[in-house]
Amino acid sequence: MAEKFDDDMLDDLFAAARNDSRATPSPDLLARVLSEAEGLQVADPAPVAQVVRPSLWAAVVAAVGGWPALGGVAMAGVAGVWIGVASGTTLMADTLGLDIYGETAQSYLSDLDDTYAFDLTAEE
Amino acid sequence: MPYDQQEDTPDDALLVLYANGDGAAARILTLRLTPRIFAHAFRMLGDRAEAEDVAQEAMIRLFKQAPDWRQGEAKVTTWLYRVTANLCTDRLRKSRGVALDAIPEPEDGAKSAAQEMQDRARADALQNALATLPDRQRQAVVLRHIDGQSNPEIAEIMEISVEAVESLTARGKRALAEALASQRDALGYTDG
Repeated sequence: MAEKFDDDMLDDLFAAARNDSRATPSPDLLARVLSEAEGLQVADPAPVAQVVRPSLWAAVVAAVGGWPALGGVAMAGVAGVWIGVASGTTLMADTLGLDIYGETAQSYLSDLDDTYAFDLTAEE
Repeated sequence: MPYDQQEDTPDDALLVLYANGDGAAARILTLRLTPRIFAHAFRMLGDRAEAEDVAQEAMIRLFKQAPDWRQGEAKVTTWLYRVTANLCTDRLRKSRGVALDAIPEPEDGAKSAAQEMQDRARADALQNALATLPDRQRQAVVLRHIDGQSNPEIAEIMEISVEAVESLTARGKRALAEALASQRDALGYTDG
């Protein structure tokens, strides 16, 4: 019986302790702790993920569908040149195709464009 | 106004947010945890100024720990209570023998003056009785019966078994009852 009384008394005292305003922190303490918290955040910032900005060239590559698509474009260009050369005079004007592709005829760049020719008179 | 406006965000998640520079997390953690450990420190030390120092130091240690906190491993409150208890023990060892009756004047409240006086007298009596207990008993009793922690949580905080917690709290309550026996009538408790 006495034990029950003691338990009830202690429970009541514990409840009084929980409601004791002196166990409540002052606003000043909370402000100090918050100030410390913010100070530690500034002094020792945690690493954050880097924001990576793509270059202009990367943006262009991405716009046409990435490197696989760019490879296709390059292949199409090479194939076009090959078809033009192999077709001789059928698709290309004059004898450019034969000049490049031909095996018997001598081909000179100077025949195609005078600016490639040596200017023999310049040395005189 | 309640201290904690975002009760749905766990402490450890807030700690990770804090480590990532989230200012709101700093504020919520401060307002949520400081009152708990301040109250615990006050009940352990019986002195507001000492309790404020302990609470501030414990919170600083928590914030410093934030970048290395491993989410999901330990409860933040368990860690914090342990740090607080250790800081209190250090202070008690250094200031052993200092009277605990230098308690500040009561603050204004909504209760009647008579009720306020009786509550204050009871809280003082309990505080003084708690001060007579060995440190570990006091810690276990405060954690269990005032702070409302469960026995397994207390076992983790104090790094002892649940059975040892039960033993400490039982012995602590018996000792408190004995210490308060002579004040029952004065505190308004009559064994009818």
